[in-house]
Amino acid sequence: MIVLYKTVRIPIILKIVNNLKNSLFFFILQSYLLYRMRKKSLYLFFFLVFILGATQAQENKYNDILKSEGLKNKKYLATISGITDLELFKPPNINLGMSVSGSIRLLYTPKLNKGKSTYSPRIIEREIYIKPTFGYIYRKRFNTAIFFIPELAYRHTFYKGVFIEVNVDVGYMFTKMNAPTYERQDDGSFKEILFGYHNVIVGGKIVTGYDFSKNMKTPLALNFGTGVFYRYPSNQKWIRHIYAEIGLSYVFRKIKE
Amino acid sequence: MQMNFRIVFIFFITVFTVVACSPDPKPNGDQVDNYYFVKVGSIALPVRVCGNINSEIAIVYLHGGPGGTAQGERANIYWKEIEKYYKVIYYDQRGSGVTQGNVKPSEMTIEQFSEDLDNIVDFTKQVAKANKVFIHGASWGGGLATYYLLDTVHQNKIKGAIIESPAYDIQNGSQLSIAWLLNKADSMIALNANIDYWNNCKQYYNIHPIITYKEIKQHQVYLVQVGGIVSNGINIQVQSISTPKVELSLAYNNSEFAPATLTYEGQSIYTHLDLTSKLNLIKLPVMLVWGANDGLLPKDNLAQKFATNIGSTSFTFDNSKYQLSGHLPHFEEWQQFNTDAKTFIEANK
Repeated sequence: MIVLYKTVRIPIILKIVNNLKNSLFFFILQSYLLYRMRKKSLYLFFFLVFILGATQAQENKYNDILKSEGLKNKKYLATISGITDLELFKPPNINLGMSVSGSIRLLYTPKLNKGKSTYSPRIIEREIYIKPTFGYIYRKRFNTAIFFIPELAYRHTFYKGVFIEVNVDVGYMFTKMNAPTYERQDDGSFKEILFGYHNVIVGGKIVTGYDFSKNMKTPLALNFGTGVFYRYPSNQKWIRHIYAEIGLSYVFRKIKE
Repeated sequence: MQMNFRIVFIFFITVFTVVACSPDPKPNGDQVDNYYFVKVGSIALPVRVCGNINSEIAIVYLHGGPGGTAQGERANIYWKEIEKYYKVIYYDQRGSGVTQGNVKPSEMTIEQFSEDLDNIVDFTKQVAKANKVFIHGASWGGGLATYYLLDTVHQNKIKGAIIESPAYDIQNGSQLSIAWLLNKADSMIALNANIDYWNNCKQYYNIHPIITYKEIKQHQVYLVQVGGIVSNGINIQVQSISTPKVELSLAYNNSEFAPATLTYEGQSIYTHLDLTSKLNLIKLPVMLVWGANDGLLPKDNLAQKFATNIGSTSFTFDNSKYQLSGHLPHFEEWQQFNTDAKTFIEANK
């Protein structure tokens, strides 16, 4: 009877203590219980239960601490941003534009920070993206700058979903005249033409925002930031632009097979 | 839920697009305010056509500098009255103001500037629909207007020229300007006004006896303090105007680029431009205006020399007028200028 009682109770106790993986206490307790069970068949049975239980506990524990989708997933972003190109002289000159970009994650290094307990992990995402970006800036009666920039970005997302991103940009800009453009022809008449200039642009920006997809399962992220870019050439010189942007991203997270 | 995200996304796109593309303001009544670019070579000159839409008379305004801009010129109340009657063409010169493109220094010649102006005159006739064209050049613009008029083909395209404090002889004009300023400096020292500063000013010209593009900024700083550029500022009136949404750093760069590179017969205009010997080629009607207190291009000597050498038989110059003005009478005594300009245009249209 005592043996039966023990055989029924022991697995329950073992399941509880399974969670105390690798602890010295667990090891001593396990040895003591096995010593108490004299029959070979029971010994073998519970030996298997211990091993299997321990294995199961190992897997569950990792699931609790580091969710697999947080570690091993693909992530893409589709972003639309409003751009404000600023001239900080008086009177302030504000020119609006828009950009769309697709972010493709090239590198991902998560970092696990301990929370209040091992059951509330804090995963910090460290990512490098390449972001093909198309956009324009509209300057009334001056030009419309259409640009393509394959941005390189490092994004650091804190465990709550707040992120900071640093971008480095080198790209192409076409500045199309933003009014009817005429050219005198050989016969002296004037003909309306399409005309603009090809430019190289270099720059960078710093962005911060909140990624709702990290903890709340909402596939959106908001971001805002500021940056600077220089376009070339203009009379053999670089022309500086300072801008601010605010954007909304749709976040695609896909679990890796 | 998925649908809601799509709606939010589409909403953002719509808002950004609508906000980013606001329409140009429409002028009232019989007024026109159109904006164009005229491409000459690889450069697009910004051209604004304002004024009376029904007028067949247009005034092409040539800004100063070199390296200045005509974009803010319209704010001068003088033009409000002129635009009631005529069309006015404001354009920025090559490598100046907010002209876009990548101008090579070799293209920054007064000869090329004259060719650009010729394009603007033709454009005014064909696109702006004004077959009677006058030009109004102020300061450096007056020098450019003078050069443009040396060609009889150009003279045949226009009805007349208003030339205001023209930089037609910078070579000698800059020396006259230094002499004018040193005289003022002595006056300030005699009045015990900031003696050290004005002694330093005199010393500056001992070290820099010739004004080039490097010295012109400092020279103007000195002139401003003794009313050598604006003498009758109290009469200047400005109005609110819309301006293109330009790159201000471009305008700043151009204000340094044009003076540094502009040449006449292959030499810097600051040391070599003197058109005195060619003024006799100008045969069309000309109105010359010069402020009595102009220190940048002093009226004494320069105005008289212009009047003596010009070939025009229809030449208007009243030495007794604009006694309160410095370098820019159409700002400083705009009421008088208005009357004189309209009289000249109506007489020669």
